[in-house]
Amino acid sequence: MFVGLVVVGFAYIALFVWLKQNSVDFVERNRDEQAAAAAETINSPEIDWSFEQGSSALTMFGMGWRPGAEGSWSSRKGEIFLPSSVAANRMLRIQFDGHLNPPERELTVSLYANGEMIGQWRVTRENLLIVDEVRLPALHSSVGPWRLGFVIERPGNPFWRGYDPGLLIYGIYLRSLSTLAETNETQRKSG
Amino acid sequence: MMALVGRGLDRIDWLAVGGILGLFVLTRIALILIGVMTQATLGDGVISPLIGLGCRWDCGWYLSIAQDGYTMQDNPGSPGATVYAFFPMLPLLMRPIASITGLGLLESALLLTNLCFIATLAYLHRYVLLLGYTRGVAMLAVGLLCLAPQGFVFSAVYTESVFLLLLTSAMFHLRREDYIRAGLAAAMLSATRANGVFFIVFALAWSIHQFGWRSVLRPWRQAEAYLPILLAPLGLFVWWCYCWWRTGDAFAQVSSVGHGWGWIGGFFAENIWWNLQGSAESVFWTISSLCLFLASLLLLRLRLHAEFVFCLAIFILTWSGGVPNSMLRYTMILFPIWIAIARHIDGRSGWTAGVFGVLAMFNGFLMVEWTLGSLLSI
Repeated sequence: MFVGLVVVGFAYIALFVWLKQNSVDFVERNRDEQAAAAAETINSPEIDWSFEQGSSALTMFGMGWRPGAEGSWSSRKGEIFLPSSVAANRMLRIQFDGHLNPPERELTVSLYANGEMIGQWRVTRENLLIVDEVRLPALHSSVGPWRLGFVIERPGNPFWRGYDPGLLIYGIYLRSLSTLAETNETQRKSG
Repeated sequence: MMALVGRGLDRIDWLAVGGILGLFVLTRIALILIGVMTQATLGDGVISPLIGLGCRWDCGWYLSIAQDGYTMQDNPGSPGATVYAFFPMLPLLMRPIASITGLGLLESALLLTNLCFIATLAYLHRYVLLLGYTRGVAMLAVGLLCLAPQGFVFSAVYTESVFLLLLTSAMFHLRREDYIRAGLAAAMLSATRANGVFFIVFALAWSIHQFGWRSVLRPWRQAEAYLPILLAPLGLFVWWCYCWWRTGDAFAQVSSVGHGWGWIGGFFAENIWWNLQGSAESVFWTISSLCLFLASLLLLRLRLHAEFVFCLAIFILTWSGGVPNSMLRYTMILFPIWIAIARHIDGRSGWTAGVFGVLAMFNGFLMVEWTLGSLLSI
């Protein structure tokens, strides 16, 4: 009896080690595959990356995000990556819309490129659709591909009531992202 | 045969069965009434079918698994959130019940969870008697579990009732030194929820308490006592192997809750501190779990050390998660705490009334939140 228990115990350990060594985070793997496919799409001087309805979203789920936490597309830790070939100082046209539940709340959304804030918007019930142009900063040669990250902040009373049984409390949906022809234009338009 | 059935029926404690069923029915009726009244007066005024009250939040995920199996499709609203975040035991049981009864998946799931809860109450009653306490204490413990804040999830499509049935049965049979049944229940337990495998903590603590430290150093002398410990991770390993087979990631559950729900580990004391600085929900969940922890200290007064160590392990695990969601739900399933409270209020009518009153109020309040789909009830 005891020998059998020892054998089973060792089998558990061996199986655990084997599974650990042969496992890859499937969410990250899927995200990388999607990013690679997207990179192929946008790896041209003029990108136009449009998303299907709801196919990419940044949400602050429940209480898992403390105010100011950095969010991202496609996973909590990942970001959207643009290849280095997208030249520095280019203008990006970005379009996203906000999801507010309950609708009278507000969000402040900041967009960072490789850690540098390049845009900030207030999402309210009256201003759910954001269409804007932002300039990518100068890309240092040592910096890898563009990394766009988002920070959502929620001003006001944190006691929110979420009615959506689909777990989405509030967030933003990226709808499209495209580079514009090189320009010196710095003026922003807000929609 | 008839004589055998007769003897079996004679052994049933009909008074206890009546009490358990009575408490179950009474509390469920009260909760349903609260739900209906909430819909009629606080919601949009539309009273949805009663069965809908049993399905909020994670319910949709479990129904999805039972319907379509495990897929890597994530929720557009929460990237990375996939069905792999949910353990398979509950959805695995839902389909056969639907096939046998001819009911829909939701109805079958509700039937399953409610039957499991009734069986849990029966095991809890027997567990209290096994510990040597009176029938009064046993019935008080049953009443407390029926009224436990957020205890309505025992009657919803959530894993709590299945988990609690397996946990009470595993602990009960272990204490009776019925190692095979304890081990089988523990194996299923670890396929029900992530913390199921922590039964090992209880089994180890109980073995040490029962046979002494020397038995741990010389396990071959009581090898059969370690059978439940060895069987306990079986469900988890089967689940890991399945995940690996389907996704190439044995720990797909951890990956999914990490990416999709933001669950990250951290030092539990730091998390508690952070959560107490957070939103109203975060503070409520954290304080609730701290209150239950304080109540768990009563187990030490009763010298139920193995039960206390088990509860402590679950508390630390729960607090180690960076997300405070559902802390109350994760910790109120620690049934030894309700036994300890029952033992301490037994014979003290004032305390009994006070404890039951407070629990009922919070349970009612949380039922309102649940009906409205408020985050607090997640």
